[in-house]
Amino acid sequence: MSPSSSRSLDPESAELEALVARFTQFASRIGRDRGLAPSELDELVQELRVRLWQARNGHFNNVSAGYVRRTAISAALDVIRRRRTDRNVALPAEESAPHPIATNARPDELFERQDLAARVARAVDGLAAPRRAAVRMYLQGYPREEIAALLRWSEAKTRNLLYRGLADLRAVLRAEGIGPGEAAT
Amino acid sequence: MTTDQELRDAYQLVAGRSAAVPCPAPERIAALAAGEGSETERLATLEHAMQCAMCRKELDLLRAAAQGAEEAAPARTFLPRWAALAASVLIALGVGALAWRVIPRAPGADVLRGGAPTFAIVQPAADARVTPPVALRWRSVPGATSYTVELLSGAGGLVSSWTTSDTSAAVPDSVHLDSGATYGAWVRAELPNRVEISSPVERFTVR
Repeated sequence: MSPSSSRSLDPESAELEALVARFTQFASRIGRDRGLAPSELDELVQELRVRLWQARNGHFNNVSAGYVRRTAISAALDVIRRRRTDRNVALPAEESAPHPIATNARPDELFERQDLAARVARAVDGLAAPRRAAVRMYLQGYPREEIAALLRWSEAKTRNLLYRGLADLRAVLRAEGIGPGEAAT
Repeated sequence: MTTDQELRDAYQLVAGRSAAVPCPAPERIAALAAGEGSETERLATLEHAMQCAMCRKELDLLRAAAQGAEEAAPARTFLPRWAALAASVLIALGVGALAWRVIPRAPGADVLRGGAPTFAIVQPAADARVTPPVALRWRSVPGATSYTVELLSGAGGLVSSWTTSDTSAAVPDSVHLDSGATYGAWVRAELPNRVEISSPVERFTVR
């Protein structure tokens, strides 16, 4: 019987399949928020399913929440290692595509936007380290809770560093004559 | 350019194209995703990942794996029936023994009390007036791997933060404390397995 078969499953097997289905649902939601392609998550889900089934049929006789988490991370690491060993494989279309720029923009407008983006990036590079990290994540679209979790900062510290970092960034840009520098956070 | 969204739009045009140093090992990205390792290590890995499209994808994949597992994992474990039965018996025996110790059996009988002392800052005392240099001391937490102290302004904003493995620390000389101003301080104790407990905020006024 293949691991993904849903026929004639005993209660524990059915529970494992339900667990994989829940994982797929939650991971897909998180992945979608972060812009991960469905194909990237499919590989991870397959790895996780195989490992959980092997664990259940092998010498493991229980599947705890901690075990599922470790297995999921281990599966993700294996996916990453495989991709790294073959970086020549074409990236999924959504990764390799350039960032969208309004297609009806004139060449001089495109040049201006690229120039502005480069100046913003340089200004971010010049921020002090902890503030820079918070600002980089924020500008990449990570919510404050995610920044706090990754860097193990308190909510207050994260808010403070982000606020100050954005203020520093606007001050630098203002000095270069970019925008009125209104606070927006 | 005034709004956060405009800054994001501009930044995302070029971010992910300029990582000039080799990618960190997958294990380092996994450590970042789990919030493990020193802050210096996490910041260094993050600095790269936020400028490298591949590593950022890897970080996002690891986060999705960890968070997906946490949300999807069963609340109970799949234990063999004999193990579940044995666990039930042990729990019942434990509860019974505790009840025998705790429940007063007769007037004057001993009652088990106590427990770990509350995690709190013990110096300076609450609402104390202190003269710089300001020394902070707090109760130790068994098993804590480090303590992070955060010094707050009277309005609650972060003034300074530092980490130590000790149960005392002086406010660094580099931190200017205004005479007559009130500050707050609290300590977070970091325990293994990403567990963290915090002390209440204690306020003090600088002479």
